[in-house]
Amino acid sequence: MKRLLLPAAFLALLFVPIEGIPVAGYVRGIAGDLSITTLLLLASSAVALAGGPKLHDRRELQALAAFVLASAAFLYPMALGLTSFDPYALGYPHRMRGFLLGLAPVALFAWFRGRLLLLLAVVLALAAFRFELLESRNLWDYLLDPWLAVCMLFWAGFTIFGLLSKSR
Amino acid sequence: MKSLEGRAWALVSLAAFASAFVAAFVDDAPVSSDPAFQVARPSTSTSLVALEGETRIVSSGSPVSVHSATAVEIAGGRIRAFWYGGSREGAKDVAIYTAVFDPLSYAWGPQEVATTREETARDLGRYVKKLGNPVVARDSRRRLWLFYVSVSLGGWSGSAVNFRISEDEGATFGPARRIVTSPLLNLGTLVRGPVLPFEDGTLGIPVYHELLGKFGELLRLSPEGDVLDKIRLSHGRSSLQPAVVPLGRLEAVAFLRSSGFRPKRVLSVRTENGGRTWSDLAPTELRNPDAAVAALRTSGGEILIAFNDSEVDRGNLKLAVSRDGGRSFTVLLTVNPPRPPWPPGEVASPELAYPWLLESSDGALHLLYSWNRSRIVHVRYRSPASTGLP
Repeated sequence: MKRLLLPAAFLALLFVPIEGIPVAGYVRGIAGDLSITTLLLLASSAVALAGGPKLHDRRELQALAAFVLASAAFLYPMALGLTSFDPYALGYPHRMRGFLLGLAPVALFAWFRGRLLLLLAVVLALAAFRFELLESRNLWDYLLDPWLAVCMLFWAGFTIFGLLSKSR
Repeated sequence: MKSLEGRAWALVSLAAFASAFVAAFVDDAPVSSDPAFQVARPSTSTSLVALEGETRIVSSGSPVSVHSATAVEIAGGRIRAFWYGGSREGAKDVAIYTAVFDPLSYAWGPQEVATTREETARDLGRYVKKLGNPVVARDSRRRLWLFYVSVSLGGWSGSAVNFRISEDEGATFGPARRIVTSPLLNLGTLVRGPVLPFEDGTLGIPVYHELLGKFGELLRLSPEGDVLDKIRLSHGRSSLQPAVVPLGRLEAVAFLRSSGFRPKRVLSVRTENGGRTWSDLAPTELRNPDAAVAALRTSGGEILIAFNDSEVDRGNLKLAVSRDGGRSFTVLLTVNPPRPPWPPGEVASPELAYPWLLESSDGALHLLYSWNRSRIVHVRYRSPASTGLP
């Protein structure tokens, strides 16, 4: 239980108000909001840290990283105005259908191959979107955020680098 | 062979993701996904012949830096304006100010603070560094919507759009809410142009993106303030601050500030399907020095536009009219800057910027703009030819 002390103290610190806004508000202001997928990864890390089962082994992370990185590559450049097509708009309620048709094969793949983390990420993101748990009304923001994409990019880079040096 | 536990997990997870998909599919928004613009029927037709302008100063001169006026007609034919002001643009003390114009006494009331950075930060539960452009609209339920820009990180390219709703014509406002419009930490979206009501009660909010790219977009908001859709008006890195003018139920034209576009002209895009898709950017004949324009469809069906007729600076402001849906324009008049009751040092490089146009129900036209970023100026234009005027 000792190793939980530091994270708990850190968590408590986030609620300390400075000039009427909690520290978490400053972090939020600068870093934006985290997606459900990121929260899921943080939660599964916390569970593992507390001695519980580890959800995110390499196989699980590979599937999730592939999904997050492919989504990020599709989403971010065009959302910044590269084309007249705006993939981000697909995540708003009025354009949901096409998005869900695209997401269904991902969830089906995760189910068939037993990739629990990816399946959980998709299902929890959809449920959270339905109940409007985040400030955003766009499904993309429930599935991924730039921090997650950057972390996954680093993780994928290190993994590939590790595999390459092993095979030498 | 799979264990019983494994089968149970497979079934439960399949059921979970099937129900999540079905739930997300269910669309409970009580609005139409076939958009059509609400076009006001002419009541008092405003004549644009021999317009006579009367100038009033709206802001008090303190704070010293003011910019980006917006206004709407409220009960009793009064006009409520908002603008931002502070010790300088982007300073921490910038707040959104408001004042009310009474057409009977023909005077602006005292300016008041409508919302502050601290108040917004508290409502949003997040740090806010500065405030920017406001845009006001009045919906069919007579609520005032005050949209405004806030920045938590970096310059204007780090902007997000917020809104507050007033049930009492702008005297008091409910809590601030942030609209999420970008996947990159919600950075880079600003408001400036007038709100466009749709037939089904949803609101079209013209916004623009200013992070790496520079382009216009139209947000569609439910009456509760949830984003239902976002439509790109342009893309690339050369257009800003769309002012959308509905021409019919399904037709509209948007005029955009040119920012890096050659030639330096006011840009336009068109839709013929209620804003679902828009044409490519095309220059109009009006010059543009990378400055905001205001556009309005008058009750007579003409398009009125206020623009800086220059490729270099904002030293003049003109009104032009189009009778062919924004394809060609005739200049009506050059706006006379206010006579200076202030120190001569202040007028070194006079700038008439960020116009806002409004037609009131008494048939008068109203232009608001920022003069030298130190005063908000109001000009009421009336024509002797208009009906119902003294």
